[in-house]
Amino acid sequence: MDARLRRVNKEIADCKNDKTSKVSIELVDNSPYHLVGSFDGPEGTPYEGGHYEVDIIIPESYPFQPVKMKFITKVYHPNVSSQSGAICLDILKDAWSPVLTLKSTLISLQSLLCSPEPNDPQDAEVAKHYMTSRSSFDETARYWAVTYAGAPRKSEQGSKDVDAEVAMAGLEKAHVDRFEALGFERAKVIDVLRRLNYRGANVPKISEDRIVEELLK
Amino acid sequence: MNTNNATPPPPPPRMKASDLPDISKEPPLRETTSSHNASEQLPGYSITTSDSDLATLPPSQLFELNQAAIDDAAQSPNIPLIGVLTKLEDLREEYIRGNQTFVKQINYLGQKNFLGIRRTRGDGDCFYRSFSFAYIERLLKSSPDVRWFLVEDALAKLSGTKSLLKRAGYEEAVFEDFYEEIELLLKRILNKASTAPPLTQRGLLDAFNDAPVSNSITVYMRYITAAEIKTSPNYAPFLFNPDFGNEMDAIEFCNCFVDPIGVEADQVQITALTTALQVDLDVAYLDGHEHPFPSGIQAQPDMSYVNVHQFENGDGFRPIVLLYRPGHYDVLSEMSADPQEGLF
Repeated sequence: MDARLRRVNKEIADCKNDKTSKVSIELVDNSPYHLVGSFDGPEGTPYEGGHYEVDIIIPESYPFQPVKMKFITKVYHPNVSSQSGAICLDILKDAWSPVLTLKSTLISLQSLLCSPEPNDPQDAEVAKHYMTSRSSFDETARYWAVTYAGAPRKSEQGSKDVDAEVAMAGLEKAHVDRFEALGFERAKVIDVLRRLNYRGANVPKISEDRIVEELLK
Repeated sequence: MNTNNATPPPPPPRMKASDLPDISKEPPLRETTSSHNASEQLPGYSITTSDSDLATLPPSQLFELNQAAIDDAAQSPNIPLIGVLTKLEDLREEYIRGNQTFVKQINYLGQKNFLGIRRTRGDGDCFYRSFSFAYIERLLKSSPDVRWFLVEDALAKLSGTKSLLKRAGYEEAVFEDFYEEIELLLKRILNKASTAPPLTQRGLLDAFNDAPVSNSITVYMRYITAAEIKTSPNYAPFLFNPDFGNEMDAIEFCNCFVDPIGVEADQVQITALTTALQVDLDVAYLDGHEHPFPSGIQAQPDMSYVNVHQFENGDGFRPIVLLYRPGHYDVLSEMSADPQEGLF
């Protein structure tokens, strides 16, 4: 058996036998080189209660080349692309070492959810949101966890009238309503306010004219 | 730290975006009409020979030199991971039109009976690969009456590194595959491997050019190095980020500068590895700089002194000898060509 296959088989078996780490790995189309890993969102974070799936590709020269991983479940996090699920994490790039395993790498992803690195972002807009207003960021990340990762909706949230698109973009409904009232399309307002990071302490810094200018583009 | 030479090796060249030349403001490197001969008459102006001191080169040429070095180091499948033994004279030929101090330093190594060089691919793993090749080759070429003892001793020490790695937090299930590759080669020296033939010089070279085997061995050397650094308090005062100079703790240092493939070894890593394996290693620093001959050594006009860093761990055996040129390690040998290799 070649070294790559032996190693991957060993890692899959190790994950199956380990009940404590709560990280799981499943095969896709019976190929040991294309897998789906999953883990729960860490406690005490907006991701708590969510279940996250990660696409795993084992490259030809594994373990001497890093495993390729990206989120399948949509995640609102500075180091994960909100569009593609691509991940910015050093061990998936030049800090990779063959002593790292699928399990330890998935656990590192789980820790990444606990401790974002906004200075080395994968998604610049999400990172800006994180830096501008933690509470607003946490709300949005939570909304994504509920919507995409199956995290339970808190009871008080359930009763609140939430505009899905606005919450998804991490904006205030009142702000969106105001510019929509000026006659702009709602989707466009959301897109512009999101790009301008119209949140928290940034709000007074961005003039109405600036926003209208963007909306007219 | 038991190196007996205070001078640290020069740092390897590093690419920085700020080093990039402003292309529009630089004069052309040479007239497009100039002949080959004309460029030869401009010492220090050619990018293929380093005629002048690096410090005097304009940024554009430094950039070109860096690029050439990077291209050399590129993982082209045409460059073997580790090559056959070639004459040190051939290396001398490469410098003959360039920096004469290199030529004079190579002359000095020749006089010290180093006639051959085995070149390693410049992929950042060259220290670990050169070292492990030379480590096994030294056992393979040891005299038959002591070979059994030496190999068994090496096997015992290597086996001991498994508990060192576990103490440092490495998982045996993960590193045992790498360990088995090096153990198999040593067992093959004694013809104790049931699945593989006795090891020959050629077999060793083939194993080191088989990427999965070669990489398994080099990464195992990395983990021995990291485990030694993590489990001994001796290294803490020497753990700095080579880029920024800030102190680092052992775990962080190993995560960044030992464990990842392709990250060059520096003096701390070399000390740790040779200490853990209890191996003596000499590193000859071919740095292209004139050094005064120490008292007791007769200076000779066509020779220039070469600093040798000795990593002494009392193995009572002839040291492994590596050649260092800034940013790169190769294996030095007292033979200019291997007679066995000619048979294949």
